[in-house]
Amino acid sequence: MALTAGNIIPLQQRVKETGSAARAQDREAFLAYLLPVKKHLYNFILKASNFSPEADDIFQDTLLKAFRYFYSFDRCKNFKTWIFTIAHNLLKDVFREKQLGHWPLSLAEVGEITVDAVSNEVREIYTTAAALKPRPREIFFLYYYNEFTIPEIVEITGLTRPNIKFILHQARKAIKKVMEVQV
Amino acid sequence: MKTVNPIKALDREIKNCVQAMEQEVPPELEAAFLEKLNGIVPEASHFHRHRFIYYGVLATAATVLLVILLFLFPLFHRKINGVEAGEVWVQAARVEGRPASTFVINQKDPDITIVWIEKINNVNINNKTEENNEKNH
Repeated sequence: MALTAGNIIPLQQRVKETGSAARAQDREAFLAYLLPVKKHLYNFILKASNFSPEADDIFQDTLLKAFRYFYSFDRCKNFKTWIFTIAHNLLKDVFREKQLGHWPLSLAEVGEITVDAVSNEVREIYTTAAALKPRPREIFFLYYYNEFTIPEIVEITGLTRPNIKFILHQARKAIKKVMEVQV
Repeated sequence: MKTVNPIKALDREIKNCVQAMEQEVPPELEAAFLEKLNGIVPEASHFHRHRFIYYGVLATAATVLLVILLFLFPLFHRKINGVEAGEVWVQAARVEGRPASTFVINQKDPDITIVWIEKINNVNINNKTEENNEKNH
């Protein structure tokens, strides 16, 4: 195309357009990575925070923070572990500030799920999990809900392997006790 | 007959129960997030943006440190107990049957080594000059 006065784009505008195109590309790439983990992440935050009303804010903050630092994410690594690490750090901050650990579990308030729809066994397990301290509860859901392996949980939480195994053992023991009582 | 690991069986049961209850991300939350996403520009971490500067500074610092160490090493080496390695080794000295401190005083003449022996309670006992063992014998 011949350069005429009509089709010459000012440099500033061109840089702006290239920038916005790159931003749109980043956005698409981020959303593509996010799609398979979004639901699991949301449910994890919801459960780890004892179904607190703050869960939505924590979820949104996690996603926004992840997008802001998306460049620093090493594409060779696991995106799910990376974004869960961000969520874990935000949850930790909230637990520290607001003592979420003491919030009561209210299954009746959980969105569309009604108490009747949940079996007794499920309810007992969630009640047992709710009684755990915030960090063990997080590990409990990372392992049993999100099905992370122990090395992955080590990467997310920064705890040691024996520590995580001990926490899981304690949780297992508590649930076993509840199940035996039920039977 | 295949035996079932009770811990694994319990884990499976817990997983089934925990995963039985989950909910979708609320659409209004998703819409709010997407709206906020438009206003955010992802920023590269400082390390990624300036990594060549960081590496350059790191390499320069390491080189400077190495050069300083190379210059200082002979000085330290000479002053280990004040003895030039390989020439004189004063293992221990005793004064009046008790252990005493030893100090080697550097001389301009490399054939002579002066060893200062001092009682532990800081009372000077002896100030003697010894010639290098190798030269004497």
